[in-house]
Amino acid sequence: MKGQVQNTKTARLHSLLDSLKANHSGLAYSLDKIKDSFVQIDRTLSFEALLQKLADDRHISITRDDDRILIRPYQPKNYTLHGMLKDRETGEHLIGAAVEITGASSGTITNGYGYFNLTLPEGDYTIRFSYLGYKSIELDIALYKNIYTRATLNTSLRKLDEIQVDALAANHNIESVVPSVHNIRLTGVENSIPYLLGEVDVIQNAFLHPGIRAIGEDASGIHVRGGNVDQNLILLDEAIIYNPNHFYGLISVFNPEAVNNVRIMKGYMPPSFGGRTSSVIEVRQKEGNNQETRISGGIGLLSARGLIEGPLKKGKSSYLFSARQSLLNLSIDDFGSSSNRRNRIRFQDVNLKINYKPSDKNTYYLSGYLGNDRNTVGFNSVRNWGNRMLNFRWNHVYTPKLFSTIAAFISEYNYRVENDTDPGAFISRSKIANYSVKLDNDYHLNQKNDFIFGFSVLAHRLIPGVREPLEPDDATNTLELDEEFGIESALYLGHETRIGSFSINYGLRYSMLHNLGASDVFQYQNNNPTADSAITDTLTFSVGELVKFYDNLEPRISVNWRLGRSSSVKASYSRTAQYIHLLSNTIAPAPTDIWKLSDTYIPPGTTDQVSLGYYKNLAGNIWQLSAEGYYKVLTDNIQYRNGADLVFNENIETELLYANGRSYGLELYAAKKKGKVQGWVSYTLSRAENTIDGQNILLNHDKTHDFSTSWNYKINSRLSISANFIANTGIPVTLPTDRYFFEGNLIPQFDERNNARLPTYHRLDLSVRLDGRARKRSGAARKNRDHWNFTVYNVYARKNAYSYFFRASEQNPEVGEVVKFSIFGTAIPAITYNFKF
Amino acid sequence: MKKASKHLFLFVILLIGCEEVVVIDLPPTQNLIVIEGFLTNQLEHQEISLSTSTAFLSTSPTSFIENAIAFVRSSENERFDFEYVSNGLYRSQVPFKGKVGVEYQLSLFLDGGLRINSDWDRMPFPTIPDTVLIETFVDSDPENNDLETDFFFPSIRVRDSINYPNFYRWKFLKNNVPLVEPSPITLQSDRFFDGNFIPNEFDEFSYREGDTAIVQLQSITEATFLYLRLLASQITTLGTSSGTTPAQVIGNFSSSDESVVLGYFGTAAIASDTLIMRRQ
Repeated sequence: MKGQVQNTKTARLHSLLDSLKANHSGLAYSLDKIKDSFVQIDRTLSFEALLQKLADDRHISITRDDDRILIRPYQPKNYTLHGMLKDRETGEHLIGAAVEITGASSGTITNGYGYFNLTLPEGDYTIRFSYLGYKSIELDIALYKNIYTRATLNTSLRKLDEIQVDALAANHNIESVVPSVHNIRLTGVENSIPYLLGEVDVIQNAFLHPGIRAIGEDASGIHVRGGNVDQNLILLDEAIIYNPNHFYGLISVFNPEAVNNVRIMKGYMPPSFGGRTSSVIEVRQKEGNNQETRISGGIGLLSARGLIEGPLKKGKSSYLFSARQSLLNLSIDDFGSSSNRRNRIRFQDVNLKINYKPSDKNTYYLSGYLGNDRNTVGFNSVRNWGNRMLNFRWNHVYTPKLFSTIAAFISEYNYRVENDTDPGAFISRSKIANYSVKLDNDYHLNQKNDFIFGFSVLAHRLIPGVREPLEPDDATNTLELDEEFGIESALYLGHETRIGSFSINYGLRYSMLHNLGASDVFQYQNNNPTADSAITDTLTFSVGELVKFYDNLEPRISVNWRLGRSSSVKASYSRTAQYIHLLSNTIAPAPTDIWKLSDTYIPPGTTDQVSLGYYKNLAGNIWQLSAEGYYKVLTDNIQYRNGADLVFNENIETELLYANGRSYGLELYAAKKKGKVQGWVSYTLSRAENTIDGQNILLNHDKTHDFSTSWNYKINSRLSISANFIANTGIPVTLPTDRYFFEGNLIPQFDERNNARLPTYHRLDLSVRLDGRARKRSGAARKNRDHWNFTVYNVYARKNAYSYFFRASEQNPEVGEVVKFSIFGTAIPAITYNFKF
Repeated sequence: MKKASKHLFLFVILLIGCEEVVVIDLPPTQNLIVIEGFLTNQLEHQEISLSTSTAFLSTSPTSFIENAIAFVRSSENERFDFEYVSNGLYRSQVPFKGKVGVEYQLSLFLDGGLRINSDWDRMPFPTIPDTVLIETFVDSDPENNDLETDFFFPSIRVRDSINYPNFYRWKFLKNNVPLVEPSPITLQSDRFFDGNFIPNEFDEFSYREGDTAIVQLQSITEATFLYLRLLASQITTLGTSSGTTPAQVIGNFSSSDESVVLGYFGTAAIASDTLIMRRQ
């Protein structure tokens, strides 16, 4: 630049500081601590401006102490990278995806809304986003301020012959501090697993994992690690679902078309969860495609289902609507009968979800569910039952470090029985509803410390039973049991910290139940509700008056000791309390069982659980192995007197007993997550028992050995085959010792309860999936996709015992005989067709 | 198309669900004393039976107790002695009937000095059916599913007495043979019908044209009702997912050595009617 004066020059930092100090005696520094480097200086700048320029360029830090100016090495600041991770094609949030810094060991996982935050020293980073079944991406981020980013991933399913599983995503089982978690996504392999009549189902899938089981094939309810069916906190978009089954347990209420992600926590529950003592089953619905309108669905022998989703405002707002209808009016007790009087059942459900994201800081969700089962019994008796849920949520990012969710929801479960035959045509109904508000905050202090805190308030309203005439002149009287009201509330605080190779998640939950009037509380002799005849008085409580108060402190702690990148040891302890109970004295719960709040006579149940597990990944996380032991102590498990009458009973406490119980076990799990062959093997050795009158009695769902394995082989891009094999110890059964006759009827006489077991159960299922062509003749990718599933359930037609009957022999009615009853006595083929366009 | 889909579905599920008689090891027998008897309001020789339970799968005949001393006492200090007849059956030495509002107890003395007493049970007031009708429905013929046929059933209206808990048991005989399907024990309480006409349509107990039906309405006490309800649940719902857990059905006997005694002694006020099943 000839003729111009050069105002900038390059100098060494140490030399520059020395020259500045020569003219400014107040300057203090130690060259030993400051890294020497070349700096660009502008000769025109004043002394103060020059120092500030050096600080701005991150060469030094400046502090002032009276007249002195202290120069220190530059201290990098921490900034937070936060944002959302979504599916590029559909806009769906990706839950539990890995966000890691390449070349470093730190990273995080997206939460239930696809949100993540990472706090790092300022600098230039390459951030890698990865998720099962998606192509990983890397983004270069210059982190010199807090940054919000919207990252999207492309599914790899369409373009590759095998499902790509990212290394870090697969490593989540090692890194996560919460033990005993199963994540289920109904894509890829999970969508090929054969179930009864070809239906894809999240709950049936869960039964293939260790520690999760049903009593039998025609039995509602989920038992997790020896817990009862009412001890699972089942959440659909964070709202409670009371009965997760359609069709007496053969299929769940969760329409696979609408489900995004399922997470099952079998043991340790973070303190943000409570109200149940056994497990959390968290189901999240899809968001709805915010890019384009899509339709998907399927049809099989059991049901037809469809889903439509699309943008309301592209990129900002989307909707989802799905529906499912059973196709055949199936008989549950006599499939082959043509009688008009057999029992028949059908079901349907509807899911709706709308979300709106007006800014990066706010997202609003409105979701709903409506399900119904209809069971016709005999000529004129109809039973309807179902769940309903409406849920509003607001995600708000207060700061890059503070993510908050406010949820308000209504959950209901009700049943209605309508009988228009005599004696006394009637309608009976029962309902449980809760109206809830929850606040959950996630504060990300830094890369080593995360806090959660919040509260929840659930207002319970229970209508145990109303029975009234179908028509005004019908014979039956109106009987209305007292409604129950209660406020279940909780405060919680949790902290997850990382210290060296240890991660610790701990917290405390304080839960309360205020059982409120109006109600009448019977008083019994010796305060012991043994029989109606023991009633001595009645206390009357007015509306809103406190009837009974319970509270519990629920400490939780889980420690993860990482033994390198591929293995870890996890130990946990948790205490949980439950204030609401399902009263059912049948082998498996019925849809017309009623819920009951803890009250003057019914205490809350509590569970203390410890677990210890070893997790190991092999071959670059292709194989995931785990071994985990647990021990649970349960208090005040509800039991029932012989012949307990739970239907429209005003003094139901007289029919109940309480037992302490325990369950313990060892769960082994090995899964192959990558390659043409994928699947898992699961084995549980366990015992679950109650202590009654000093005797340990096995619970009805106890299975000593429980083995299951599920594998999928992708032959080519269009064809895959899958197989399940299940084997377990038969459930406990009470065998008779004697027989006698009463009025000519043979009566089995029993002694000890659950004194034997049914024979070993085992079954093989196979399926073949044939996908439609992925590409047009021109080579371009087809937008419309479809596939067929051909399934055979119980391939070798094993007649597994569901139960034993004890009856008089048909040949000689004077003699007893034992009859093995099998629900499925043959192989059951099925076909389903699924499409998306 | 509808027919085709029906056949497809039947192909899938016709063979679902099956029963198979099996032989398994059972726990050792208890050989308990079993007592059965209902004192009625009918003037007749009242009967009780005594036996012992045997191993469930045993092919041995039932063992009867033959040498017991048996008598019924009333709260009016009456005593009615019973004498052994055969096959465990004891019959009152004289005909007598239970009186409404009077309590009765069965006492037994067995070998070895064992004494057994039942609880006291009060004879209820008998309830007489108001109207008894025969009704019909059409359903598939169980012998040929492709055909339909007429079934007959009793329709009986009962006037329940108000402000008093009543418990009923129904018995049905078809051509003098007790109907045990769908249940040998049919019970009813007036919890939902107190003081009303109860219109019963027993379409589960189906008859064919020309059958003779004997319909018996027994008024029983609450204790008897609870015992029979538990007994019925052990006969009819065991083994199903909605079935009750198997349990000992303990009756209303106590013994001097505190051993378990099975069975029941109670009172029943009976009203009976006989019908010939024809279109009315």
